[in-house]
Amino acid sequence: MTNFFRITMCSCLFAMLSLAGPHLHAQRKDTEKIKASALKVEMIQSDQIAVPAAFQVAVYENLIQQLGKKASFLHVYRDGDRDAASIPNLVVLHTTVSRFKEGSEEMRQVTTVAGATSITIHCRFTSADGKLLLEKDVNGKVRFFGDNRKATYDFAKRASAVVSDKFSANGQS
Amino acid sequence: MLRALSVIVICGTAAMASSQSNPPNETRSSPATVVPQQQTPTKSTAIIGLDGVKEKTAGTLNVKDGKLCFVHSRNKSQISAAAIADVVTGEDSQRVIRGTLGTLSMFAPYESGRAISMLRSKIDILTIQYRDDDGGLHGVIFTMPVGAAEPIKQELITQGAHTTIQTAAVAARGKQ
Repeated sequence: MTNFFRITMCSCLFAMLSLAGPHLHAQRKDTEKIKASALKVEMIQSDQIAVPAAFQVAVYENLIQQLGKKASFLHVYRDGDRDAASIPNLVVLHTTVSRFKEGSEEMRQVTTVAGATSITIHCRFTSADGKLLLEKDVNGKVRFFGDNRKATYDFAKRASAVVSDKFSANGQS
Repeated sequence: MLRALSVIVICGTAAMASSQSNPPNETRSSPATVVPQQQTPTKSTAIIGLDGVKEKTAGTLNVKDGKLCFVHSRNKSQISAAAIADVVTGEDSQRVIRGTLGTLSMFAPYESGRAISMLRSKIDILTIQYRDDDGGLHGVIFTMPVGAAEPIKQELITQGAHTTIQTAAVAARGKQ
């Protein structure tokens, strides 16, 4: 009886390890982060799609603010900052507007369901020498409350979450 | 009684909203006729991007001695006109009743809060991009009463600021 119990226990343990092993290995691979000591945010580009200047500036400033809060392990440099040139492991964030739909705050407040503002921005993270590290589309939207620029705040929060997920100061999770 | 009251409120606000939704050209001068003049402080709100100033801070804005000055609660923020890489004006609108009262109005009976939210005032937006001493790019957004942004932009350009969108008046002057 005791032998049977031991054999059953060992079999169960073996089965669990063999099933969970590859999954844990894959999970660990996913959480490996890109090593970065500083991040330089380039000004948002919108050559193809017309975006109001105030919107572009709001995206840029909100992004810098949110990165300072959510990715505090990184030193955030602004576009054109000369101090960033000598930093090792510098990551450069290039942003390009890929989709923009300007809604109306008045419409949102009157109808509740219409008038949403949404912006989708293609984020490219490169090294200082231009090597691509990560590419991702991030969107921001405002559906109910707030003015249209709140979509830029939403985008900045999501983009900062991506940075804190994918980058770390030592390259480990 | 409440129903009658809410119907009166809705009708009144709709009438006021329609009277406010005139085309902007009817109420303000065209950009071509704006002439740079001596600046008097303009009431404005710094929306985002000004160093050391909280978001949506109310204050006054003027251009003096080659600098854009934003004064708020006895503090002064300055941006040199020569450092301004781009200055652009725009238009927007905002609710007349904002803040806590504006939020509470959404719970008014018979959806009259929706009608109240149609009461909007037009505003001008002044967007500025400038570089700091290290070359870092900053962006600042100001809102101000309608018609106030263009004279400030013209004054900044006169004092050395750059712009990517020039008005007809400046473009014509450049051709001469």
